[in-house]
Amino acid sequence: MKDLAVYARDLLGAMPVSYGDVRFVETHLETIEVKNSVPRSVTSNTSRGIGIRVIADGSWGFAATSDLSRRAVARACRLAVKIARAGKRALVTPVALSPLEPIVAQYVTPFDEDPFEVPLEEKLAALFDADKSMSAEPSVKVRLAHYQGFERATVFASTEGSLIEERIVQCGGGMQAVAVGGGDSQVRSYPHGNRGNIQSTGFEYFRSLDLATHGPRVASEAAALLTAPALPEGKRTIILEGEQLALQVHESIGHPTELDRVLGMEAAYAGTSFLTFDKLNTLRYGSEIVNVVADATAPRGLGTFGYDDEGVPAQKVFLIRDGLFVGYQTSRETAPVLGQRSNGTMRADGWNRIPLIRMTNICLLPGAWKFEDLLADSDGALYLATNRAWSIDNKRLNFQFGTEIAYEVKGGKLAAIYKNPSYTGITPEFWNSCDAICGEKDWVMWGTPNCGKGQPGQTARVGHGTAPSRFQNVRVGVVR
Amino acid sequence: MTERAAGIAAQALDLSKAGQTEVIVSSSESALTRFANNTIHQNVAEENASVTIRAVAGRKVGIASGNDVSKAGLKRLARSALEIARHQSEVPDFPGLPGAKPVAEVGAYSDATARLTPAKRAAMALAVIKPAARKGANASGTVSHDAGSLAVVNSLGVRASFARTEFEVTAVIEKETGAGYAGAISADHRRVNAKAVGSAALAKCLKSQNPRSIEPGEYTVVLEPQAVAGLLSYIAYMGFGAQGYVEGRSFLSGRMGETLMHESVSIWDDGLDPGGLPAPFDYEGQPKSRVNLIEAGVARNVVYDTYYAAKSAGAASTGHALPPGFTGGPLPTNIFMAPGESSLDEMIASTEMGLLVTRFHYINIADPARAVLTGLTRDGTFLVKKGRVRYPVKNLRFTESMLSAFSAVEALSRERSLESEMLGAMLVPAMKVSRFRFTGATEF
Repeated sequence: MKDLAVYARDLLGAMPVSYGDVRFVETHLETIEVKNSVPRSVTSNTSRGIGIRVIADGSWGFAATSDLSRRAVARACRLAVKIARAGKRALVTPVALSPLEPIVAQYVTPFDEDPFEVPLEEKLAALFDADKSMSAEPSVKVRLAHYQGFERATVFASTEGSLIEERIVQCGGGMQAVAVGGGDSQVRSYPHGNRGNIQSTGFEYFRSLDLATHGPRVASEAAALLTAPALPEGKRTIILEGEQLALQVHESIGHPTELDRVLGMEAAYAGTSFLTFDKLNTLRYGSEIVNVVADATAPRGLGTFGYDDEGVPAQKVFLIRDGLFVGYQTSRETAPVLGQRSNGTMRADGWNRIPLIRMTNICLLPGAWKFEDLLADSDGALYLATNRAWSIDNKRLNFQFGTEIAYEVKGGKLAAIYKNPSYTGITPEFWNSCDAICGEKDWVMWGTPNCGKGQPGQTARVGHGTAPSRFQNVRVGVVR
Repeated sequence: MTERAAGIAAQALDLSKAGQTEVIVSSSESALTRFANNTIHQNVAEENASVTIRAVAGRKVGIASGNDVSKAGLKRLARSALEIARHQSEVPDFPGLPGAKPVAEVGAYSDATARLTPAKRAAMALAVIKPAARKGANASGTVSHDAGSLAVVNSLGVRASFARTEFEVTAVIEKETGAGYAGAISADHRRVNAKAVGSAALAKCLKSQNPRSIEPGEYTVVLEPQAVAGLLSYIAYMGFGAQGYVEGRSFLSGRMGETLMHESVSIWDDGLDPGGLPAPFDYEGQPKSRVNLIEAGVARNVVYDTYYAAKSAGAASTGHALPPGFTGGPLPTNIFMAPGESSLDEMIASTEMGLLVTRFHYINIADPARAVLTGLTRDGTFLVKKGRVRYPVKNLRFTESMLSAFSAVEALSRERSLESEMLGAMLVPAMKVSRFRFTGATEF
């Protein structure tokens, strides 16, 4: 498909465009779900096509086709130019891109075992074992064990001379037990809410999850939640498990630091951001121990790659340093507003979508605490684990999350449990109340494969590295 | 328009060597012009055709999908689905593929809409942008259209296909301290007035300036149709599908026949009603039936596909299967809510103290068993006092059981509006609720 991408790029070079790029993308997603000992769904999905993006008369145009004949690709090139020119009537400022030197390169996700080479029977066997491991609890009415393998091959060619080939491989899975009784239903999951956890690596990651070992605990906690009290309303010290903290980072740091949101480009759908330019290098986003990076170079993240979908090399940049807000996630179109070059966060959901600023791996850097020391130091706190619900306003200030379970911390241990836990807050107040972050040993790269943005809608696969962390004076128990 | 999809489906069916085979072909030509800051900033078009093959070998089922519709591509796909089935374990409760049933014709396609050009979309975007710019406001939004066809065939004789178009204009207009939203959707673009959509959003934006803070708490609310649709789409997702109901996870589980909402509330699904965006059959090629979900406040039914109908005594598919591989079970996608006898103005006039809500943002499920949702107001929230809209207020977060909210309905509007939501377009009235719990406030 490299030839076709180069063919299209060369066609664009002869058209009245100031810039053009071509992305051939082929994705392959394998999903397996075993439910109550039945293989409810085994699917293999492939999608391939070519997307043509141009700037003509100062406006963007984009056309995509799944027809890979040269005739159809040429038609798509012409349509992209026509669309761009139609936008001229509503043009305020012509699009200008930050500079980028041409790059000719290849990138492949490092992995040991190709997920697509592992026989289906082996994957099913692991999921049946996981399902069975949850079967001892009579009140658990729904047992789910699931797997996914994903790969994406991209050829990127631009009229500036870049030609990049990339293969991303991702793999993971998880399990869930749903207990039903007394007019209630309660859920517990491992290792992550209802999506399991996925990393950019090979089948070895799915093996390492060792689902069946965790099944008995997952099932017994789901059953116990049915008779547990609901978390009372109040202001408490809370410790967030890394997986819940990953979504907290996603919603209250990842999205508001996207520069396109700040510039109003997403106002019609997901919203804007409270991080107006006056806050850059002045806002105390969090306490001094809070350091957050956008790191597309971090191993195993779902936002790990060689080059973004504008051909910009993967980078690691600080968004929050020692608690101070210091940077946005940018693109070639938006970075010049700050007098900068793109920091490489443009990604598209396949061949048929334009790249948008998407989180890479937005990671809360590890702190100094050992988890056991943190528990020992937190008598009377709550430990909230495994995301169940999430919601945040359209400027990313007022958030409310629900988790599957909350534990009282007593004598350095996790003790009594509560059901339907929730907590709520305002973004900077919350991050400024962070007084402890666990270290490398407890730091995990979590995957969020379903981040929605844009119109038409796009789903991005993004990563978040976090370790359990403590926050003071947080309002809990809102759901009653 | 449907011939190509039906032809691809028939060809794929011929190429399959499975015991039973189902082929779904979905083809689409779509375009979207997106604007923000009074300029068109994203402008896209796409053509695609995807094929999903469900191959059955005994009681083993494999699903493969792709978008290579060449003969070689279809052959590969058919082989892949069968290969998955052969290597998969038995599905003991698999009822087999369904047989053919008569499918109604629906008028869901507009050729003029299918042929809209980038220039026409730009003109409609400008109809929103220019009046906003004249008032010093910032317009954002979309003008989009999609022309597609769906064909479902199987080896037991199902042969169903139809063509549809969809056209939508949305506008969020912002100025300094407030914003306004409006939108419209139809199968035919000639029934949507982009300028009127823009005017409505602009008027709301201008009224939303300088919002005041109010304390969270319990308020009477007057919900405009977009706000009602936001709540209803999550109610439907949580409760109206057979999967959650059978598994005991739906708030309707074990409560069929009970009064769960106010007697003025009736909700149903009807894929054939031209008042919505009709679709005559589901992803198994089964005809869509009208299903009464809530009738005068009483829980009556959920929607079924073939699999969950077979698991439920006395149930039959209601034509609500979603594509194979979707693991959430059957769901309603053509929802209607009965009108009342009031109007938005009358609801406001009858309110001593309450809030007028344009729409909600980022709704999510806080407790599915009790149908508790959380979310925030957005793009136009106002305090109503002594029968009049007094001033805009800063946005609030709600956390409320929908069974409580829909039991406290005081009035529904005669007029209904087609609103685009998570589960598809739904025709809903405005609604006044006597008690609605807001649990937090935000800063704008």
